[in-house]
Amino acid sequence: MATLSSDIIPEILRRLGVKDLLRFRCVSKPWCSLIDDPDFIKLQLSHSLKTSTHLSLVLRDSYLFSVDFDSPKAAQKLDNPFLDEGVGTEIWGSCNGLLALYNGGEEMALWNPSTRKSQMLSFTEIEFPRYFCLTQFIVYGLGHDPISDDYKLIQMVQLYDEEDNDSFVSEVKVYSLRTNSWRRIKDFPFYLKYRRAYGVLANNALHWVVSKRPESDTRSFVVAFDLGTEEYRVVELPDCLDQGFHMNVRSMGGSLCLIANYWKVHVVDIWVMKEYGVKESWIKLVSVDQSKLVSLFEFVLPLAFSKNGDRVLLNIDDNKFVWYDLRSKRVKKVRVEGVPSSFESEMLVESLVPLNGNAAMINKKDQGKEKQKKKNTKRDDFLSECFQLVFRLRKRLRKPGNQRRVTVLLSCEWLIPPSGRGIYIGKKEQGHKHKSIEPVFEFPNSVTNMALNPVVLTRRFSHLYRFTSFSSKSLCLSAAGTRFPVRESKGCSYPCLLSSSHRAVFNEWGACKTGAAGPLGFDILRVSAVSDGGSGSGGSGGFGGSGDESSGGKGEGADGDGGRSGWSFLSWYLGLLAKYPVLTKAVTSALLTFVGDLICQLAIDHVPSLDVKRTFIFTLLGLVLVGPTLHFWYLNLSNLVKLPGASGAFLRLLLDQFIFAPIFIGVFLSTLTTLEGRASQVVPKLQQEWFSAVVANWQLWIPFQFLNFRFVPQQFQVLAANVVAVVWNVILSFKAHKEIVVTK
Amino acid sequence: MASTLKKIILKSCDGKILEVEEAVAVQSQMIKNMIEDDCANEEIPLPDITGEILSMIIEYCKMHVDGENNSNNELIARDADFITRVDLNTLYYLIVAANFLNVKSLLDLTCQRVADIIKGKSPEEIRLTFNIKNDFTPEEEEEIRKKNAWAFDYKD
Repeated sequence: MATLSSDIIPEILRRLGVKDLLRFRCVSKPWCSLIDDPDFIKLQLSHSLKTSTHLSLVLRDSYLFSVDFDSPKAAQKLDNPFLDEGVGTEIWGSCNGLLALYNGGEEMALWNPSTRKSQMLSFTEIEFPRYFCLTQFIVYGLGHDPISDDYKLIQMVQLYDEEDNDSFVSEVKVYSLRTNSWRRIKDFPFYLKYRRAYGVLANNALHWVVSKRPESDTRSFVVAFDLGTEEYRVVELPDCLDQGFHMNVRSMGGSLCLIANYWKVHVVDIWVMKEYGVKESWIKLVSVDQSKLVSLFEFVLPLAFSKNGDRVLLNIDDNKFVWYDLRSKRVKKVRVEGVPSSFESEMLVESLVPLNGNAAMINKKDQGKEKQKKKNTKRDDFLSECFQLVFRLRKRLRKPGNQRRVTVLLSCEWLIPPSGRGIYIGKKEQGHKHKSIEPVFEFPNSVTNMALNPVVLTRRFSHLYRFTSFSSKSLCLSAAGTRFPVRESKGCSYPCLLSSSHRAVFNEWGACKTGAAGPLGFDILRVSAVSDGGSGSGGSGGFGGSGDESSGGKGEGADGDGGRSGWSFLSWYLGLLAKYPVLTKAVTSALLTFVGDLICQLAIDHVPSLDVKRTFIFTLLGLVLVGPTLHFWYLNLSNLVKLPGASGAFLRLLLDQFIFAPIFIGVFLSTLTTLEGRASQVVPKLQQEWFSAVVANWQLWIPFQFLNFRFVPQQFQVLAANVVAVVWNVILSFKAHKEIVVTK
Repeated sequence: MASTLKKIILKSCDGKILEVEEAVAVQSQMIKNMIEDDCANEEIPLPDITGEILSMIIEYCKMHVDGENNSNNELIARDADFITRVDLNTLYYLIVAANFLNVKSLLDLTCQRVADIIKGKSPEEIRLTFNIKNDFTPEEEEEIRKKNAWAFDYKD
């Protein structure tokens, strides 16, 4: 080919991806200076954005993954720029090929994944005075200021008074990439509705869903922060919106989208403002309802238009992607290999936008080896991490004015099974599956005492562990926007089991020696959690899956109070559990068997006078046999089966239901019969009742636990299990005391 | 009807004369401007454009005028069919001509085709393809390679 003129070369090169361009820098000097030229960088970027090329989806669980948008087949792990990957990286925003990242620890960075360049950012202090009664949350947003051609990261801190729920203050700071510094700007006069919402970028403005007041005027609307003028303005919304939905914003192909989630009827409408700032240009683009999707969904987020614009990629419940055909209005599932079980997703365009610093980039190959090593580390390592963590937290908490970035620096995961049986730490494998799940401490075992369910990791589980702050992103406040007041908590209480999903608030961290409480015999972390009156207690907890935005629904004050009083009893109970695990479980079990037998005698057998001896023996067995046995069985079950994820859970379920349950029911019936002085009847009793009892056990527990995990909001699962445990005890008591029919 | 349509006369550098309907000719922004300025009444000489390339461009423009009512996908398929028939050398002359005549969609199509061809190639192959002289010293080149060594780890 003959030499091309210099005005045509950029025409060709702007169509290429970043990797090719970086390689072609060494073709010749003119090519190199062309590719480095800021105007060319803009040209290449605008071409990619205009034609929807060189786009990828960035997924985040605790690691980051990338999926090619053109052919979304497989997710590939992205090496992020942090030396210490911490507890899972947060994405605070995506703009022109840059991601604002936070490693859940002490590092914050701007990162261009396509050029693999990054720039570490300093944190900025919160200036306004903080009062004891104020709780705070922090949101971020990343965008480009076209006026000064600068990238800006916005940090918005909002404090509100727990006593006077209607007052709040906010502080806004802007980081400029050009000056590499923070400065404070005009306060944000609106109340942010969602704690985990980063600013949604459209038309050089960041958008948040807000209300005027936290309590008295909770009507949602959308406010924009103009990155150029640094002014706030209200975005006009379409008139024809009905009531009764959760509002959220997103952007798609550069346009602002409004998501109206009619969660009661499982309908999600997505509106697009075709022409920014023109109210009349809002059009309803997508309407997804339950009938179009096979499984129940909680929320839908728009991601991107397909290349020819006739389809829209949607994120359903943070666990799958679908294409929505704008013409046929049908949805089609997108299968992507290697996607984490639950993720947040963000669109990213390849760009050459330069970042100055590159300090934290280390040889990733070495890091890979290290990771391999890390994977092999045993319990010791993460225990020491736990200690370090407590140490660090304490140190930081002691520093005045430093409550904000209290974070947990664990390279492992905190996992909370929905059965609430304990806190488990699972190391993450390179992919997304949990390599091993080991109990760190186990607590509310006897809450689910009679529930013969093993630790089953369900779909809900993933939501749970993401939003109870015990999550992959863990207890990092700033990013998660979790409110984090530091104050004394009474007693020893545990968070996860009851936290109304994402609205759990961690009040205090500390370590308490509990000896027997931790099955592994080490210090456990003490965390107390308080419901902040979130949606959980309001009964819409099940809906709260998204955690960040769509779940919305801020609970009213009254709900919150109810939540709190419920908490105090439960935290007292959980405290007991931690202190005296076996005893507490035994007593709970005794109570359940006692009630079960009473119901059986009075309501089913219709005995003329209560057989006190029978009740006593039955309850005694609950106390000395059922409670302790279950305690140790479930303790060992998770050690026995170390398979990760769902297959491990399934195996545990099998072991539990088909090995343990039959033996245990046999032992129980035999012991009971013997204790009641009918030792000779043990064999005929077993012959007659054992099998049917086992079958009854299966019939009751397997479907129940399935339904429990599938449909019951997490915070009510244990309660439901206990109700069923009473029912089961009634059955057991009935079977145990049935007359033996002598067959010849 | 056709006879009442105004014709534009184009003359290639090798002396070939082509008569084109105005509707087709105005696909070229340059010719459109000339018509608007009333300078297109006589034949328009096109230096640097051979008769062969010119007739290809006219073919392309006709295709787009005729295909106006067709669906977008159909047009894309036709474009793809048109461009894949073209070899790299012809492609070069097409780009130069499309650039000169300012036929935006053809310039897009041809540049995209070149971009697709050079995607994933090595710098050496690029120099060969575009006839570019390497003006870096070996040290300088090594320096640049080192800076983004990962970008040189590629297939095909």
